[in-house]
Amino acid sequence: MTTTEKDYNPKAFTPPKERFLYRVKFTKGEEVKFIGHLDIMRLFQRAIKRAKLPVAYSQGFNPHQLLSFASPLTLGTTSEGEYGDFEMARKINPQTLVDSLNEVLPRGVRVISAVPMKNQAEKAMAAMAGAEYIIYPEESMTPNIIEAHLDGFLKQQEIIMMKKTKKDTKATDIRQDIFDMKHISDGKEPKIYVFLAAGSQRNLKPSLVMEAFYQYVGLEFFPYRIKYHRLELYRKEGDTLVPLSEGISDGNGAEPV
Amino acid sequence: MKNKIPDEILLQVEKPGRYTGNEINMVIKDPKQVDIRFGFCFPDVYEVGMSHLGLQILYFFLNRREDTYCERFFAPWTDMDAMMREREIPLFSIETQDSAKEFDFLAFTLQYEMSYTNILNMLDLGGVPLYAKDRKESDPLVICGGSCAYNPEPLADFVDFFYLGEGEVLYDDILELYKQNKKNGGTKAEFLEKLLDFDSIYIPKYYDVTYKKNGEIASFTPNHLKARKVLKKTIVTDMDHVFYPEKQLVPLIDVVHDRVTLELFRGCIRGCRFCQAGFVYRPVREKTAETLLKQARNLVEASGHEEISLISLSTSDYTCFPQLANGLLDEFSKDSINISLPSLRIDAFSLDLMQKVQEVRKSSLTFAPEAGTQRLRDVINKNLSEEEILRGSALAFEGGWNRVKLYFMIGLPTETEEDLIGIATLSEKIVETYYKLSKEKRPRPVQVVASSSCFVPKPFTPFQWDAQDTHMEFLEKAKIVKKHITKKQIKYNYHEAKLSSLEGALARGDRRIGKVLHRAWELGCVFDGWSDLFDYNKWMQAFEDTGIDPAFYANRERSYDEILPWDHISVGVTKAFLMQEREKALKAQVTPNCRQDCSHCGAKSFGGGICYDYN
Repeated sequence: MTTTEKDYNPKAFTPPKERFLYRVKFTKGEEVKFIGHLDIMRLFQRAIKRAKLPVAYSQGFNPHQLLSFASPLTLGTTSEGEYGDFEMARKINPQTLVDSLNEVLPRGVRVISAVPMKNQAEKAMAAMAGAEYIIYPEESMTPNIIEAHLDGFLKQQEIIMMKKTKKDTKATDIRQDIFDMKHISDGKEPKIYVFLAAGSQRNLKPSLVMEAFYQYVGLEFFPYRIKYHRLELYRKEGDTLVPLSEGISDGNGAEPV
Repeated sequence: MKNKIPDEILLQVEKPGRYTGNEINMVIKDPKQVDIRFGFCFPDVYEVGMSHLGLQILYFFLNRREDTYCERFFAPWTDMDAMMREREIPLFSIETQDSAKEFDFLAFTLQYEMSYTNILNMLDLGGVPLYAKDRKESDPLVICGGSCAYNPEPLADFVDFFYLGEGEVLYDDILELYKQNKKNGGTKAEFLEKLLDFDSIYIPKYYDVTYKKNGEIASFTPNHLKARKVLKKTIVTDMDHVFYPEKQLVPLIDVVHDRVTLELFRGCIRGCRFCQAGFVYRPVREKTAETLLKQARNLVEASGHEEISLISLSTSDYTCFPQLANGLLDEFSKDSINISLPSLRIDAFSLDLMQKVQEVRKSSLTFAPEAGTQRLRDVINKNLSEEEILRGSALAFEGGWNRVKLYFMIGLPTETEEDLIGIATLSEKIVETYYKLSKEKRPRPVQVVASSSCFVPKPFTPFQWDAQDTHMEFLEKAKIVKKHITKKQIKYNYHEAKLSSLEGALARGDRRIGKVLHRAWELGCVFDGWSDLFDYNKWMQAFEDTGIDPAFYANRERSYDEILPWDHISVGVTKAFLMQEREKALKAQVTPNCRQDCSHCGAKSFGGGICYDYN
C-alpha cells in the first residue's frame, strides 16, 4: 500500500515502539481435545496470570491480554503443533516463558517452544498456509485398502465435495488443497498422513478428505469414529512452506539463555 | 488420563467439555488408596453446578482428607442422557469417569425445587435404585443437603439421610464414623443408626407420618428410640477460622459464573418476610475484611481469574464494606481484575464505587422494591421506600446511567389492585425523575425494565401458612400491571406462572409429593427449571395419576395449629416468631433489622453471629 496524502499526518508520527512478541508452540492432548478455540484462549489468559508473566495489555477501557492464536482446531482433534503469538510488556527469556507456563497449564496442554519474533513477522493466523495431520481411520479402512486405493485417489484430476461455507454448502474441488497424502500404517493399525491447505484463503479439513476417500473406496463413512491429530502448521516463505515457528526469530534470544 | 467415555459419543453431543473435567485445580487421587469415595452431585448441568460456591467449598474441604476422594457428578444434558441410555453408560464422575454405583456416598445439593426430577434421573442413570428402601448394601448412601433440605419431605423416600446446615461442621465426624463402621464390618443400617447421635442429621426412615381424612398431617412420630423429635440445623459460628479453599476449580469451558467468589457473610439482617434465605441462614456471621482480602489474593493467584465477585444476600449490609471495596480496588485494579458487586443498595457510596469499578461501561442499575406500594412493602418488611428508590435513581441518572431494572413480585399476601397499579406508578415516577435532569445531562432516552415474578410461599417464612395464587390469578394480575404501563420508556416482563405454581406445590410438599416426583420423572420430566424443557401438562398428569391435588399444597391457607411437613426441623428461628411476623405483616407493621434491634427470632440459640455482637 502506498502512503496517500490523507494518511500522512506529521503530528501523529511517533517512533515505532519496540514490541516483545513470542511465538508459542503448544500441544493439545487427549485431556483437552474437547475444549474449543475460545476456551483455549481463555485458558492461556488465566495461565499467564497464574504464571505472573508480564503480558502486555491492550489500551482502552476494557484492556485485554495481547494474545492471538492460529487456526482453530476441530473439537476432538489432538495436536502437537498449535500456535499463539503472545505479546509481553517487556523482554523475557523465552525458556522462562515455556517453563513458567508449563508449571500452571492443565494436563494435555504443554508449551513446546517460544520464539521471540521479529517485529515485522506476520501474525500466526495471517501467515498460516498449511497443516499436517495424522489420521487414524476406524478398522473397516484396513491398511490393505488404503494401500490399494490411495494412489488412484490422488491421481484424480479433481475431487468434488460438498463444502460448507459460512453461508451455505457448495460443490468444491478439494484436490488442489491436498498438498500431500501418504499411507503410513504400522502393522494392522491404519494410519494416513496428510498435508493440507490451511488458512484464510484456502482451507481444507482432514475430515472432508477422509469423507472423499471413504467415498472413493466405497466404504461407509463413520465421521465420529475417525481420530485426527495435527502435527504442524506451516506458513509460506517464498515458494516453500515452513513451520510457523521457523524463520521468524528476531535473532536475539532465540537460543535459550 | 484418557476419556473412558468413547470419543464417538462426545463428538456427537453439545459441549462435550461438560463431561471431560481436567479443570485447573481438579483433585487427582488414586481411588484405590482412599477409604471413602464421595460423590458431590449437582442436579443440574455442568455450567450451572460449576458456578455454585458450595461445591467449590465442599470439594476442597472433603478432599483435604487423605482418606476421602470427593468427585463431582452433574446432570448430563438431554442429548448425553439419550446417548448414555442407548449405550448403557452409567452416570459417571468428572474426575475418574467411574460409575456412580462405585461410590460410598452420593450427596446431592438442593438449591431449587425444580431440580428434584434430575436427582431421580441421575440415580436411575447411575443404576442406583430410586427408593432408599430398595437399595442394597452395595449401593451408595444417598445424602441431600442445601437450602431446600430444610423441607426434606418431598424427597424423604429417596434419601438415606439429610444433612441440615453448613457442611463444614459435621462432615469430618460423619466420615470418621463411616470409616470406623466399615472397618468393623458394620452395615449401612448400623451406620445410619449411629448417625442418630447427630441432631442435624435427618433420617426419614426413622419417622412415620399419618394423615387426617382432610389430607392434613395427623402425626409425625419417630419410630426409633434414639430418633429426635426435632432436628436442628448446624452452622459455623466463626467465619474467620472456618475452612475456605485457597484454590478454586477453574473450568476449561465457559460456565455461568466463572470468577473468584468471595463470601462476605452468611445470613441476612433484613428479614424480608417472603425470603426463605433470610430466615434459614440466620444469624448473620461476617468475615473480617482482612480475611477476605487474604482469600481474594490466594484465589486470584491460584485461578488466574480476572473477576472477583462479592457474594452475600445483601452486600451493602456488610459492616466492613467500604474497607473491603477500597482494599480490593487498591490491590487488584492495577492487574486488570474486575470487581463485581451484586446486591448493592443504590446510594451515593455504592454509585461512587460502581463508577470506580466499571469505568465507562454503564450497565443498568437494579432495584428490588418487590411491591408497588409502601403498604405492601411494609407487609413484606421490605425496607426500601419510594423516596430511597427515586433518590437512588436520581443519583444514578446524574452519574450518567440511563437504564434501570426493577424487580417486583405479584401475588403477595394482602395484595390489592392498588398494589399492582403501584408497580406501574413507581416505574413511571422513575421515568419522570430522569426527565427532571437538564437536557444536556440526558443524551440518551431512559429505559426502565420492570419485571414481576410470582410469589411462592416457602417453608420457614412468615408466609408459610399462606395460600399461593393460581397461575390463572397470576396471569390476571400481570395483565392489570401491563394495562397500567403506558409510557413507552417502560418495558414490563412477567414470569412463567405455571412454573411458579408447581414450585409452590413442591416447596411446601410432604412425603406424598415423592410419588408425584417419581411419576413426573417417569413421564419424562427433567431439567424443569429450564423453561424450554419444562412441561406443565406432564406434571399435571403426574398429579392426576397419583391422585394428589397440587392445590392442596400450593393454593391452600393453613391454620396455625396444622402440623406442617417441616415441623420436625428447626432452623433456629422459632415457629412462634414466624407467627408473630405474619400477624404483623397482616397489619402492615415492620420489624427492625438485626442491626437495629434484636427481635428474638430464636437464632441466638446457635451461640454466635450478630446476635452477640450488639448485646
